[in-house]
Amino acid sequence: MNFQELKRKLQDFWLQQGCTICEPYDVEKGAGTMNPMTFFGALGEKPVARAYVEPSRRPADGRYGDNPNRLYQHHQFQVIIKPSPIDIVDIYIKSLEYIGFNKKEHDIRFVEDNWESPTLGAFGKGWEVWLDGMEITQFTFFQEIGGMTCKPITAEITYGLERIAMYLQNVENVYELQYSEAEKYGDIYHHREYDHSKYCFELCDEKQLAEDFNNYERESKRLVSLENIYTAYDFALKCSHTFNVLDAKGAISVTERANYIARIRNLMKEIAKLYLTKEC
Amino acid sequence: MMNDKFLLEIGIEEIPAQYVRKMASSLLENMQKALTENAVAFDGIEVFHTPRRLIVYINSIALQVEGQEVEVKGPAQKSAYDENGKPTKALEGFLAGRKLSIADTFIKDIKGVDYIFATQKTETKDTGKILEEILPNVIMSVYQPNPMRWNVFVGKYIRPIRWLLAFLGAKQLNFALEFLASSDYTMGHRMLADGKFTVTSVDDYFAKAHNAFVIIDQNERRDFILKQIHDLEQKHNIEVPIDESLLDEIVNLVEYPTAAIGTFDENFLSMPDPIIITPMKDHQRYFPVYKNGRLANCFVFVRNGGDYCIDGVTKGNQRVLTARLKDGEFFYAEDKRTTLADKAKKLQDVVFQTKLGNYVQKMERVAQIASALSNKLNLNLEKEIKTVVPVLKADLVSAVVGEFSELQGIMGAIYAKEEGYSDEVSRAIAEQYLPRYAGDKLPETILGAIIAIADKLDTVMGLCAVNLRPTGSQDPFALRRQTIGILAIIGKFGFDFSLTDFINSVSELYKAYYTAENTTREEFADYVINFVKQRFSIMLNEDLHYSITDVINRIDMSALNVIRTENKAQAISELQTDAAFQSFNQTLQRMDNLLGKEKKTAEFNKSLVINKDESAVVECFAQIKDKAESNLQANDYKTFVNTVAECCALINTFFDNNMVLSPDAAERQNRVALLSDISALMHRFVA
Repeated sequence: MNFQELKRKLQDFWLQQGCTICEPYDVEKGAGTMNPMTFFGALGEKPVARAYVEPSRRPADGRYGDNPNRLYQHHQFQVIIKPSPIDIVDIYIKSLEYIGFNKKEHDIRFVEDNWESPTLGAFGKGWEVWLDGMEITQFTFFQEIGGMTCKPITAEITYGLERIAMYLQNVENVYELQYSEAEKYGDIYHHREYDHSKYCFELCDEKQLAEDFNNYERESKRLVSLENIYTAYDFALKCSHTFNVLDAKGAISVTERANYIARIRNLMKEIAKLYLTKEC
Repeated sequence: MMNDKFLLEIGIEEIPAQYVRKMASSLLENMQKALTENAVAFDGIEVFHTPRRLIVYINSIALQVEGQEVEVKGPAQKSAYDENGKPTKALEGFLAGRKLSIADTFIKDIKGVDYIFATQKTETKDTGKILEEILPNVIMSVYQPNPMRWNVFVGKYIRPIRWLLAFLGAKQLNFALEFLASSDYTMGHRMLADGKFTVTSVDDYFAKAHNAFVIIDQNERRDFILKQIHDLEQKHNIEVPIDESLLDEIVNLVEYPTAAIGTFDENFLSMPDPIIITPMKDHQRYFPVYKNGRLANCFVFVRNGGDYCIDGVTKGNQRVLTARLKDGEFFYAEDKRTTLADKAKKLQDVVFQTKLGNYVQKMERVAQIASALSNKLNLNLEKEIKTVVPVLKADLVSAVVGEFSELQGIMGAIYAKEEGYSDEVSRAIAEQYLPRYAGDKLPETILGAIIAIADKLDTVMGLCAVNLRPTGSQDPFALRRQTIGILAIIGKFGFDFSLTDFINSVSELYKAYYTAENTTREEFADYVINFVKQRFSIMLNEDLHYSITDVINRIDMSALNVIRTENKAQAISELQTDAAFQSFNQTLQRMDNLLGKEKKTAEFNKSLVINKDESAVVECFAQIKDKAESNLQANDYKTFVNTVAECCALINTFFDNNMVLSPDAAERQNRVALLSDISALMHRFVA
C-alpha cells in the first residue's frame, strides 16, 4: 500500500465513523493539535468529529535529508471526536485492521503517555500505541486546552503516517517509501528537507526572527482586543513556529526559552478564553 | 444456601502499569471496609489485576445480614411531653418515623439528662441489596494517582471505565456509576478474543475469562513469564537475569504473555553495554541476554498475546531496536570525536539554575567543597579532586546522554576510562549521582563519596542561597532526597566531622547569592543547618527506628556529627535497661539539679579539698578521666558509660553527706568547678 493509499484508507475509515474529513491548515505548525479544527474543536460543548492529514514542522528534527527516520516535516493523520466515544479504543483498533494490520498477527500495546504542550497551555492523558514495539500513534484525552478545562472531553488520535507506511511497505528509509505509484517519498520531499534543515540550522536570520516574533505577538494581542479570534490565533501559530526555528538554531538560552514559551501560552490562553465567550 | 461467591470486575481501558498494583490493593481495602461497616460476613477475599481490569473475588459471603435489636435515641424527656403530659410533636415524629408506639419507649440517663429511647429491630437485609448500594462508592474511592476525565463522565478515574460486572453467585448485581450501568458481560483479550462475553455466574466468569485468553491472576502471569524465559534460557543456552521491577511492569502490561527471543547485529556489541541495555530495558521493555557472562546480541521480549505469527512480531521488535541502536551508534561516534575536556568547555553554556549560573561555576564550588572536606578529614585527595572535578559533568553535553539522560555519570565514567584517566577518577564520575533514589546503592570509593557529598551539598546550599527552598510538599529540586543522600554516604564511610562547622566554613562561597536575596550569612547557614538537622532526625527516626522522644531528645544534635550521633543513638537505645546507665543518668540529673544556675568561675583547685567524700570523688575522676576521654574519641559510648559509672556511687555518697553549695564561698566555688567538669564530660554523651 503506497503512502497516498494509506491516507485515503484512513480517511475512508473515519468518514464511515461519521467524521467530517477536513483539510490541513495553511499556517506552519508543529502538530495537528494546533490546527484550529482541534484547538477550538476541543473547547466548549459542541460535539465534534473531524479527521484530517496535517503536515507538521519540527525544525529541531531536521536532518538535511540524511537520517532515515527523522524529518523536519512529517505527516500526521489526526482524528478528534467530542465527546470521546465509550468504545473509542475498539474503533481505533478497527482502523488498524482497516489499513492492513490483522490484530491477531501483531502485538498492539497501549503504553502510558501523558501528553503536554506548554505552549498551548494544554495537557491530556492517554497512551502511545505500540505496534510490535514501534510507536505508531499518540492517543490522548484532552483535559485542558489554552488553560481551559475541557468539558466534555475530546479524544484525539494522531497516527504517524510515515512510520506506519514504512512498516507496511517494509522499508528502512523514509525516502524509499512509495508515495504513489509514480513517485517515491524522496522524490517529493528530499530536497525540501535539505533546504529547510539548512535554513533552520544555518541560514536563518536570528535577529529578524526575534523581531518577527515580537511583531506577531503584538498583532495577536491587538486582534484579541478587537475580538477577532481566528486571525489572532493565526498570529499565535506564527509565534510558535518562529520560536521553534529560533530554538533549533540554538539562539535561545534556557531562561529565555521558558520566557518565550510563557509568552505563546499567554496568547493561547487569551484566545481560548475569548473563544469560549463566543463559541463560534 | 446461606453463603455464596462474589465477584466484581471493573473494566478499564489500559491502566498505566506503574499504578495497577497500588490501585488493586486500595480496591481490596475499600471493599473490606465497606463490608465490615455493613456487618456483612465474608471469608477468603482476593484481588486480581490485569492492564484492563481490577477484580475482587470473595470465596464465601453471607447472603443475608440478620436484623439486630438496637437502641435508638429520641428527644430529651422534657421536650417529649408537654405540661399536660401529652406527647409533643418531637416525640410523635420520632415514633412515627420508626413505626414505634409509646409502649416501646423507655427512659435513659445520659450525662444527667433523661432521654426517650426505644428498642428497634433492624430488618434482615439481602447482601445483594447492600452490595448494590456500596459498590459505586467502593469503586470510585479507589486510589487514583493521576486520574482523568472522559466523555461527559463527571468523576475522575485513572483511565476510562469501560464496563462493570458484579455477580453474587448466579445473581447479577445492578448498580451504576453516572451513565455507566453494571451489566452481565466481560471482555476477552483485546487481540485474541473478540468483544463481549455474557456471564451467568461467578464460576462461569472464571471459565469465560480463561477461554478468552485472559489470565486474571497476576501471580500466574508472572510465573508463566518466568517459566517461558527459563525455557528460552535452556533452549538457546543463554542467561537472562531477571530485573524485578521490569518483570513487575511487564506483568501489568499483558493479559496473556508470550516470551520470545530476538536478535540484533553483533557489530553493535562493540559499543559500551549501557548504550545497548538502556534502549532495550527502559525504552522497549526487553530483557538483555548474556552468554557466558557477556552481553549477547539478543534480547527477550514479552508479547501481549500468543505465539501466532510470532516471527513477524519478533521482526518488528528487531527493527525498532536496530533503529535505536543505530541512533546510539551515531551518538557514541559523535562523542568520541571530542575529549571530555573539550566537552567540559561547553558546560559554560549549560545553565545549572538561572540565579546560580552555569555548570562551570557549579564545578568551581564543588571543587572547593570537596577540597575542604578532604582536608578536614585528612584524606589527601587534593590531586584527584583537581583531576576529576573539571570533567565531572562533561557528559551532560555528550550526545549519548542527550538521548539517554539516565546514563549521566555512567557515560562520563566510560569516556574517562577510554581516555586513560585512572580507575579512581572514572569511578568517582560514575558514583557522583549516588544514591539516585531512596534505597539506591551508595558510592564505594572514597573519592566517589567525597565528590558525591560535595556535589549534593552544593545543590542544597546553592538553591537555599537563592531562596528556592522546599515548602510543604513542594520540593522541586529534590533537596530533601539529596540531603538524605549526603547523610547516608557520611554514615557509610564513617566520616567523623561536624556538618554544622563544615556548612558554616563553606557558606562564604555563596555570598553573592544570599546577599542578592537580602539574607545574611548567619541566616543562610542556619537555615541549611536546620534543614539538614530535620532530615537527619527524620532519618534516625524512620530508618533506624530510634524513637525521637526516648533517644534523639537525649542527643545534642547541634554539631551535626552524623556518625557520632548515630553511635550515640545506637548506644542509648541499647543501654535503656542497663544498670550502669541508670546510675549514670540519676547521678547526672542530681548533679545538674544541685548545680542549678551556679556557674564555674575559676578552675578547680585540688589543694583546696579537705573533705574526704569530696577527695574520693576527685581521686576517682582523676583516674577515669583519660580513659573516658579515649572512649569518647573512639565513639565507644557503652564503655564510656561504664567508665564514668565507676565514680557514680562516690559522687552520690558525697551528695548524701555534704552540702555541695557550702556556705564557705571559696569551697562552694571550688565544688561547682569540680562538678561542672564532671557534668560537662558526661554531657558529651547525652544532652
